[in-house]
Amino acid sequence: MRRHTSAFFIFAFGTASALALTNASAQSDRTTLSTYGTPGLIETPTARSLNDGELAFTSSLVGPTMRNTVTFQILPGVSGSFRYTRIDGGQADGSANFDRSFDISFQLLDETDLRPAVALGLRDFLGTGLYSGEYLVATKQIGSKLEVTGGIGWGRFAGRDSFTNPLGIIDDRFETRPTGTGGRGGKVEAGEWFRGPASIFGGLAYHLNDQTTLFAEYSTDTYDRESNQGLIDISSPLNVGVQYRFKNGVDLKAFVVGGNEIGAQVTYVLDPAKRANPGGRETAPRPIGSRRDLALADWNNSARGGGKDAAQKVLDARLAEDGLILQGFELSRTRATVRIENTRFGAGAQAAGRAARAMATTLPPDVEELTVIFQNKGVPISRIVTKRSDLEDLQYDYDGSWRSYSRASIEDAFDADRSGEVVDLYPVFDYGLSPYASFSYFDPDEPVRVEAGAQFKAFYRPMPGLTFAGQLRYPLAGNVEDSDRVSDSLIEPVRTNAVRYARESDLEINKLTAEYQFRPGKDLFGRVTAGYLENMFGGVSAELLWYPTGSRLALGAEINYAKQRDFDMLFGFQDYDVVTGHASAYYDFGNGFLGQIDAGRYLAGDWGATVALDREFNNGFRVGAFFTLTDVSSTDFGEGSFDKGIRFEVPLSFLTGKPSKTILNQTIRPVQRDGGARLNVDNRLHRQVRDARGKELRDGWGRYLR
Amino acid sequence: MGALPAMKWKFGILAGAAFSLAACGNQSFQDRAIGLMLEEPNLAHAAGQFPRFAPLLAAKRGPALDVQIVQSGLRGGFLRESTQGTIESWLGNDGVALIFDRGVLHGTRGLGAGMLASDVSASANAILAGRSGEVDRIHTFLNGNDIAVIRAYKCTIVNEGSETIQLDSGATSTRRMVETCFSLDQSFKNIYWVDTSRGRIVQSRQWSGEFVGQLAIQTVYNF
Repeated sequence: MRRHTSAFFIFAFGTASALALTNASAQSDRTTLSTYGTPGLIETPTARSLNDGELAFTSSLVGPTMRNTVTFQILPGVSGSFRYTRIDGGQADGSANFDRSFDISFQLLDETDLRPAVALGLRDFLGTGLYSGEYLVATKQIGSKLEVTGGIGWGRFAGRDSFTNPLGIIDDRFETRPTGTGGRGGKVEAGEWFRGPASIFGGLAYHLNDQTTLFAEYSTDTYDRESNQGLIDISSPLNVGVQYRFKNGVDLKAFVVGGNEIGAQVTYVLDPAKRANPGGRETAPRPIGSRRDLALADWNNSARGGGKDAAQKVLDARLAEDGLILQGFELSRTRATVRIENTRFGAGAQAAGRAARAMATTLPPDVEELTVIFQNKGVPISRIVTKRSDLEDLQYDYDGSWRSYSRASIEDAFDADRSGEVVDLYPVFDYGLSPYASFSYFDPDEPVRVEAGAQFKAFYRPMPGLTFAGQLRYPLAGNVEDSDRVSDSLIEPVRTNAVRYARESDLEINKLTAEYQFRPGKDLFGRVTAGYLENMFGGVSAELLWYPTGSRLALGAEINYAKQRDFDMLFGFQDYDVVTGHASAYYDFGNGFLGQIDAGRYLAGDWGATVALDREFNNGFRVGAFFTLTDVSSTDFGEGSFDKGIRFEVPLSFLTGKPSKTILNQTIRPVQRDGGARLNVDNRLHRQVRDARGKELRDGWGRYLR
Repeated sequence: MGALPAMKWKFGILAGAAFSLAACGNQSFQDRAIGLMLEEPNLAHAAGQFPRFAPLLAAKRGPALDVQIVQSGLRGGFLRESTQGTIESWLGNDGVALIFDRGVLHGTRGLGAGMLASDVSASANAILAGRSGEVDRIHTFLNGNDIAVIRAYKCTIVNEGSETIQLDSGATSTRRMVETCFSLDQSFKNIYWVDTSRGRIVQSRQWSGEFVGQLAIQTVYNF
């Protein structure tokens, strides 16, 4: 199973600058980003796009406004953005106003010699509507240095010199933009799109050289609200700016907006397909030498005390060098099987390759069929069968990755019993004390809250699949409990009492569980967990997963009885309990797109479904989004109307170049409410099993001989 | 002319090499901090010599290779770990490896761009035979997205005649062979010095891929 470590990778911009050092070549060639963090000049959009898969982090200051945006090029022609804005003095009482917004934009036409590139964008299409606007924009390069942009915009883009909506030709309704629908935000306000007056905007970008770009634009954003509050002085539609691109890929931009307001911006574009160190820093695998030499090795020579036990000892040590724990070993004259738990390699295929090499460089020469069984918590998942002679033939073959894949066979290992199990393997006991930091975001009073302290984890496994585990935390510092947010929920407060949990607890028992994982049959996986399952709930959870080894589709079902825990996070419970559970479908669309639907009953007793789409790069970097709709009305749900968010996963190896199963992950929800909330039980099966199933092994096979 | 006092040649370390180009600062501190915060398991040989290297060093079956990354100046020593046909795998004392086909770079592990394997047999044939001409070569690189990318190159090999070079064993007469290769978007130039009496490449400058570029490789007989 992969270790998921929350957060620490933040979309904080310190991280982006750290990445800048390791990913310098990852910038797209010339696309410049606006203060909104989307392709643009200074404030106005252009029809340019990032390269497919690129992730752009932008932080900008315009007068009292600070915008932090992350933009992801989801497909070559589609990008999505999430933005967190702070407007100093933006509230009526003079305090700062915080706003979250989502954009989506579509590249309608690519540029040709004669035709400009054309893009269509929806800004702030889910939020409270502070920035809501739509635009259609065209950009054309003229000569090698100049780019000209012109567009038409509605909503916030129609602040200056606006005219009657030309779409009125289609229907008179387009001429007025409905107002007052902002409300709680979060709704798709499609009824407003492209309606009301329109304005024309445009500008120029001049690329002085590879590093420096000059901008001039005519912007139609008049910052009405901020101007009325006396926060910003917009006295001219003309904005000018200059951008410098540093060698490490960071862009720095300075500009003047509205004639008087000086602003600045920093941007970094990351390509998740380019890791810090392309080949990896891990040490070399064992080269496979002559089998005849192995016949002479002491451990294979019965006259010198050799035999199965002696060979196993050598094998165990060699696997351990690669972070592979030997859990079972069977040897006949021509066949050998090892069962291993991979603790090091993010790519399962690399672990399989290393294990097969350890066998091929250790076992007697007659052994030809090498079987590696991947185990998770002692439970067999998949087996990979390789011919020893194929390894010998292909270890130096320039097409060895593909050829070794095509000659290997990957099978389900449900039928592997405990024969050959390493003696004294059980019980396994492990514990560790470490620091931790946990973050919470977007409290209206404080955008980032953090808690840090000491964490103790331990587990005890008396037999395969059965694990007793616990996690305790002792917070030492932080500002989570300083929040005065109390639950204002109109439904059962299953998540909105987070502050009370933080405030009323001291030593926290985060988890204390007994878990049993098992293989009920071919392609089937099972899990039962009981105890204190997560910070806020305890109970019993049972899950069944169907996942054939080469399948794109996996199906799962989970049912839980959960009872709400006391705020002190010790052993007591509150009165509220619920039966919650979901039926889940997981589908791999190919090209790295993964879909998941979970339908069922949520913690507050609401019924509905969660839809998630992730783009996973071959190296494990993931960017995704999800939303949940349930029978809780948007009024009862409160701010945001329904649950939604974006999520990032960065394999630690992406940053360090060293093999690791650790993944830094972060889910960002604009707001956490009680509707559509799921139980956070550990070790849901699909993610655990997936790394050792055929599709994932195949994706990682480039590392088989690494 | 008296013999030069024997300078003890040392095995350096190249493991940090690939990374040091990209990051700065105290790497071991960074690794330790990551280990602590993220509960990463520690590698047994995190500091010091790679376990597989000690027996090779003890066996003293030479020669060794002195390898320098031209761009960064980092250098390290390698010993032959395994041979299969014409392919040899050489291990560095920090666990990285270089793979050669008769002295022509065939692969890298833990160093540089991740050259998984190659077909450089035509180059090796021509270079060892002292034959000028055109050959093809193939390199497969592991890219940053864990995909094995196969690339083919056209190469021109020129015999530039004899040249005496200085190795630790003394002045050595060699034949200097220059190979210029290009693909649609990459090009590189390798130089090989072939020891005319031993019939093998004893010194070379070879391209290892885009990440760290050229390696300067020299045979060391006394270590």
